Amino acid sequence: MLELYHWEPNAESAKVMLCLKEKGVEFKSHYVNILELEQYSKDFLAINPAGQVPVLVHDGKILTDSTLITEYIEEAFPEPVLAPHDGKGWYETLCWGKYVEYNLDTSVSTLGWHQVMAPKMAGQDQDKLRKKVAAIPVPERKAAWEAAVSGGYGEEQLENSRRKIGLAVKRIEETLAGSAWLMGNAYTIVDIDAFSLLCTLPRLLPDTVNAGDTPGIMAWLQRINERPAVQETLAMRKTGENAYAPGPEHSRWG
Amino acid sequence: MLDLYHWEPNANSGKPIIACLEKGVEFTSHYTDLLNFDQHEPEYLKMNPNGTIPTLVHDGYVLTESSQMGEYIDAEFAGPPLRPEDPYLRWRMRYWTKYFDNFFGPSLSMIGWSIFVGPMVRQKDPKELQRKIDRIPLKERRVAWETAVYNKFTEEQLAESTRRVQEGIGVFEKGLADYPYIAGPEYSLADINIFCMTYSLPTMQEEHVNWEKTPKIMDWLRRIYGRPAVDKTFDYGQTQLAERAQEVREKLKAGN
Repeated sequence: MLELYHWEPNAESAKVMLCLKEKGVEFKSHYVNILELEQYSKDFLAINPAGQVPVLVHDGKILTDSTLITEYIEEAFPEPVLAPHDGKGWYETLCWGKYVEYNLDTSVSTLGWHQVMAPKMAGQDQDKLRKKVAAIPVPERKAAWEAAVSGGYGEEQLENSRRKIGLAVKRIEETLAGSAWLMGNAYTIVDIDAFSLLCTLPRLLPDTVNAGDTPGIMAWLQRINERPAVQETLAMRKTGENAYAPGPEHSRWG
Repeated sequence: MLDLYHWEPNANSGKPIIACLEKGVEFTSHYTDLLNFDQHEPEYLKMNPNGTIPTLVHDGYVLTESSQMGEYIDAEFAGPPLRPEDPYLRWRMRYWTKYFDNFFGPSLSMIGWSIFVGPMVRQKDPKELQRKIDRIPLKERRVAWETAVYNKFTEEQLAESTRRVQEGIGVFEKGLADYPYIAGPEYSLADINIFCMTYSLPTMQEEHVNWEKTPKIMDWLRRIYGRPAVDKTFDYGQTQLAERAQEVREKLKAGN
């Protein structure tokens, strides 16, 4: 029995939802409303003390960390194959997972929050929101939310996010110039990981990701969008397309 | 042909050394002096443009991610398996490795640099030191090195690191509650990766890691230290960093 605690089919939650749908694995969906800070409720913290979604519960075993969950799904549900399993192919799969997370997860959420969510959240009852944030029991998550709700991010952090996204976009565009998918001629969990973050960039950073500058990425996004598993996943949306939440923290080493 | 470019058998460099020795895989060792910035020499950068250590080269194929390297070594070479068969235990192996890589390790190394490695490096000629920092290719690595070398950490950063290390010690002790090894009943890459970051905790964090407060960590350390491959790993060190292991061994012997 599989249960998935997730938010919108965006970013980290999308990685796991897309992966399960692509494998054709049935799961019970539990929607956790991040913007209501439900991930810090007592009930949810009992499942994941880190207060983060997604969480996969498989026959009572609790699995966290979206990248690691996609790797788990690939190993626990071998068909259809979504990664190479020889030494080199698997090593590269793991490295891409780390690369996407390091360069995109945090950066996309930082920019998305700044450009889209901060103006929206400004319409909410600020006192209520601040009180909720002050009650977050996980110190590093509390710090991330405090930064987000107290007027957003500094220019340095925004610039650092744009720079990291720029590096990743360049590398991904170059990779797609030589092959249909990021790991060669087959669709893999690396495409799923990267798609979950990149799919929003034509709207979020139209000067960086667009038909003129990154035709490879645009065609690749389109190809992925057409997959039935992706359509099914996106149909699970409850809000509009543009929803972001404070992501994992930027490296403390600069 | 297997070539390993590594520094002290410490943190990231230790991971592939132990993995190879555990599997009985022969490799050519190339000691690369991190504190002399050998990893930013043009020759090294040709091989690994990020200028990070370690680098593993297998028949011309270059690997630069130390935590992921172990999975490659395990998949490509014969010898005792270093990954559990069960997918859930594999997830645990990667989860714990990542917890130490992302949360615990950076905080521990910040403290280590501030009190120990930084002063060592600052004994070098200041102009030469700056020149070496300026040529670091990756921006985040350059900023990180500058911060570390000149001890530019703020009080707040160091306090947060101290908090995280202490929290991490508690989390680790709990993580060892169910099994003798961190991923499960068998020794795995997670034990190797984590050992490389934690082997000196009983001396570096004496107050928090000891037989009284963290018996499971102490017991785990004793089990890992007792492995012939791990013992041999310390022979690859050239500085006093490896000598710390001897002090820890004494403590492990003394307790329980």
